[in-house]
Amino acid sequence: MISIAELSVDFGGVRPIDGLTVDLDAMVHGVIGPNGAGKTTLLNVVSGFTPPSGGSIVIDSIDVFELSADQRARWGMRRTFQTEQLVDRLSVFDNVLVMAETSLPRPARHDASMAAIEFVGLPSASVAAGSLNSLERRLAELARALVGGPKVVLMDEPASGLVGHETEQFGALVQRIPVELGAQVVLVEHDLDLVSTVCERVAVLDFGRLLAQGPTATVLAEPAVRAAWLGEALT
Amino acid sequence: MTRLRSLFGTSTIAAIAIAFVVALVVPMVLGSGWVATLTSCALYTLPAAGVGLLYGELRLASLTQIAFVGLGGWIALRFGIGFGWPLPVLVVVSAAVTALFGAALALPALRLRDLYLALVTLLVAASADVAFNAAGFPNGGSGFLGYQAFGDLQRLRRPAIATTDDGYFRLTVAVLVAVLLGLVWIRRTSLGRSWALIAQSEGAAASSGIRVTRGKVVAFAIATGTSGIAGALMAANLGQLAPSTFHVSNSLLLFALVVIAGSRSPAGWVIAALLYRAVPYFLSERGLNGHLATMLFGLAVMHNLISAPAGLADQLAGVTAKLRTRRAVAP
Repeated sequence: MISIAELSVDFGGVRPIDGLTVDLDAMVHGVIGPNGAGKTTLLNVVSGFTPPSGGSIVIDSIDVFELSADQRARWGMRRTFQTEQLVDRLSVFDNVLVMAETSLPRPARHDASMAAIEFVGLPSASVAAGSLNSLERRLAELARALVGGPKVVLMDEPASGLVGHETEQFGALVQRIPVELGAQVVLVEHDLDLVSTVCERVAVLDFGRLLAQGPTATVLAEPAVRAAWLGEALT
Repeated sequence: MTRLRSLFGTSTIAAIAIAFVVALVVPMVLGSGWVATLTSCALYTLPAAGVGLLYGELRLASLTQIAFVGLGGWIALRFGIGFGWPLPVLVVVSAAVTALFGAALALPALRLRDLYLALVTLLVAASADVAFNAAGFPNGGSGFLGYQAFGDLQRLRRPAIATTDDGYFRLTVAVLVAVLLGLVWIRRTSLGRSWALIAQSEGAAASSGIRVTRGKVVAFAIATGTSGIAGALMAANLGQLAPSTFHVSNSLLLFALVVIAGSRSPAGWVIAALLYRAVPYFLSERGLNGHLATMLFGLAVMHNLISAPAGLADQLAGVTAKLRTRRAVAP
């Protein structure tokens, strides 16, 4: 479970996260909100790219602020990005192997990398990442995040750039992560169909604060959420 | 052979074969002037490789490579003349000390990026230029600097196995091949993969558990170490060094040439060194001012921007591939 308490982030005069307190307690937990709500900033703070101005984040009794970004990754916190970050000239295997090399002993790296590539369903490990289509690129980046026993996988809009059936395929894969790998998934996403399908619970952010949290269907039906998200008038 | 091919790739094996043929044939067919010039080209391929490693792998613009050649040369002269250390030891010590200096420079400099990193490294190169002019290069004098303006000016001797120009050319090519093989091999290791991801995105690298700063510092150390090797070999080749060889403008020129020739390819590093040393010699041999080369390089930069952003080596490889395809489809 990820326990966030009184978390704030300041960028000069802008405060994208403003005293946020929330427990991300489901094995697949969604984080949604309109543009500028602070979702990506939250992932950046959790993964160690953006320093907080106050508050705390505790995962499995560990204060993550005591670890640097790379230490968090080696501990088991993994991350995918809005624009997937693969090295085009390296093969899929080498892109995944990079993570194995920082988190696993040498004898286990090859098999673990191949297992991750098989898990996400990529047909070939030897092709250059630059030759992959949008879905395959997402899958390859996810494979890299899943190597070496991840504890938490943070995903930032993984469905962007995917079409309907690709999003469904990706969603099914996300649901397998806690079941088969035992890792918690935090999904920041605009695609509400994907969020509804895969997230047991969801937290809604608005202006850096928690607007609502609970079971996904219940939260998405709340008038305050629909007002913030869809611009519907509160009655 | 199969193991070599899997370690380095077929094109690298072919390049090694070409290097050995060149080392064997050049002294037989070319005059002493060209042998000396091509020895110089082989030496300058080493700092060009350092520039290429930093810029091609990590997009770090370092303008200190020639200054570190000077530092390597200074160390080799100091310990070679002062203590009579043999060349292999001088090469290792020069590489190690310049690598340490490179790492020490990298730690604060890598907090900066792009233009600012380039400017800081340029100022370091300018400072080294001033230091070389103020201290001179060791020539048998007393004290820490080992420099004397007058008296019995001593020179560093070449090793017994390569006392002639031809022999020293072959020795230099052999060392160059060994260093380039090392660099090609490093690119295929976990360190090389981590550089690739750092260049793609430092955030993605950190979130893959890579220690980004350490990866960059190691790259700086390796790049400056190659310059140190070049400095030691140059000192033994010439016997004595002059500060003007390591003028700050030379670092700028070499950087530009590596970008023109191709920063990611060993062929690009070799072409950069040929442009740096062989083109001016070719022009001067024909009665033209060797500095005309600098104007030609300006045109080459424009060519590079328009039609060969990955460098001349990449463009040549593309032409070769096209010719092969044409030959394959020809009836």
